[in-house]
Amino acid sequence: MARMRRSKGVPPEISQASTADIAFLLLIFFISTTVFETEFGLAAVLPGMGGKAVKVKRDNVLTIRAAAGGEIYVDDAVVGLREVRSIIKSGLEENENLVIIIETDAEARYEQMINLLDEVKAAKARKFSFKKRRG
Amino acid sequence: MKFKRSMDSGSQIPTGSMGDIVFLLLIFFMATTIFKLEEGLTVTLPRAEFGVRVPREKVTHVWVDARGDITIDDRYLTLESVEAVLVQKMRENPQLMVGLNLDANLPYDLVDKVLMQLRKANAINVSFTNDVEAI
Repeated sequence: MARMRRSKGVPPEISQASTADIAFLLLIFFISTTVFETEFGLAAVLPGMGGKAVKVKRDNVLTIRAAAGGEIYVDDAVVGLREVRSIIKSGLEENENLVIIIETDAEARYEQMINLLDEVKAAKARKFSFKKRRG
Repeated sequence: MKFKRSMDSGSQIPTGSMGDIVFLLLIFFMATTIFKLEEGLTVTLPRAEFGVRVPREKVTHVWVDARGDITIDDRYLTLESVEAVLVQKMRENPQLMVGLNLDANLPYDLVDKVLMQLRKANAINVSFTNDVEAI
C-alpha cells in the first residue's frame, strides 16, 4: 500500500475580507425591500358621555346630509360631492366658528358618510359632528 | 501496518466559513419570521384622500365587516360587549385611540351604534381607517 503522506502545506483558507461587504449587501437589500404597513385614517374626537351638550347657534351650523339614496343635501338643496368642499370653504371664510354637522340617514351607507367627512377634512374644518337621521 | 499518530496540534476546524454560516442562518430567520399580526376581518375600507398617517402601535382596532360581525383583537364580540372591552382597554391606556375598520357598505345605523359604544366607554379618540387606493 502506498504510503499516504499528509501534505504539510498551509491549509486552504477562505478569505473573510468580503464578509463585511456581503453583510452590507444583505442589509441594504432588506432595508430597501421592507415595507412597513402604514395605515391612514380620518381622525375625529367624539363627545364623551359625561360632558354637557354644547349649544351652537343656528347661524354657526352647516348641516350636510347624506341621504339613503346617495344624494347630498345642503340646506335642502341637492349638491354634488365635488361642490361640498367649496361650500364648506366659503362657509368657513364667512364664519370661522362654523360647525359642520354630517347628518347621515340610518339606511345610508358608511361610505357616504366617509365621503362627506373627507370633504370636511379637505376644507380644513376643525369643528364637525355626526348625526344620525332616523328613516 | 504501522500508523503513526500525528503529533502536531489537534485538527483545526476552519473558521473561514463561519461568516457564511451565520449569514445563511440570518437569511433563514429573516425569511421565516412572521410577525404576529392581528388578522381582523375582511373589510372593504372606504376610500378617502385626506386621511392622515396613523401610528399603528398606538391604535386598537375595531373591525366590523359587511355582515355586521364585530371583532377586537381577533375576538368576535356582540355590539353590546364592545363597551366593556374598550373600558378595560382604556383603563390600561387612557390615551387609547380607536381605529375603526368598518366596511364601506355598512348601513350608517350600525356605525352610529358602534360610535355610541365608544362614547359610553369614553374612547373618544377615533380614526376612521380609510383606503388611499382607488377600489
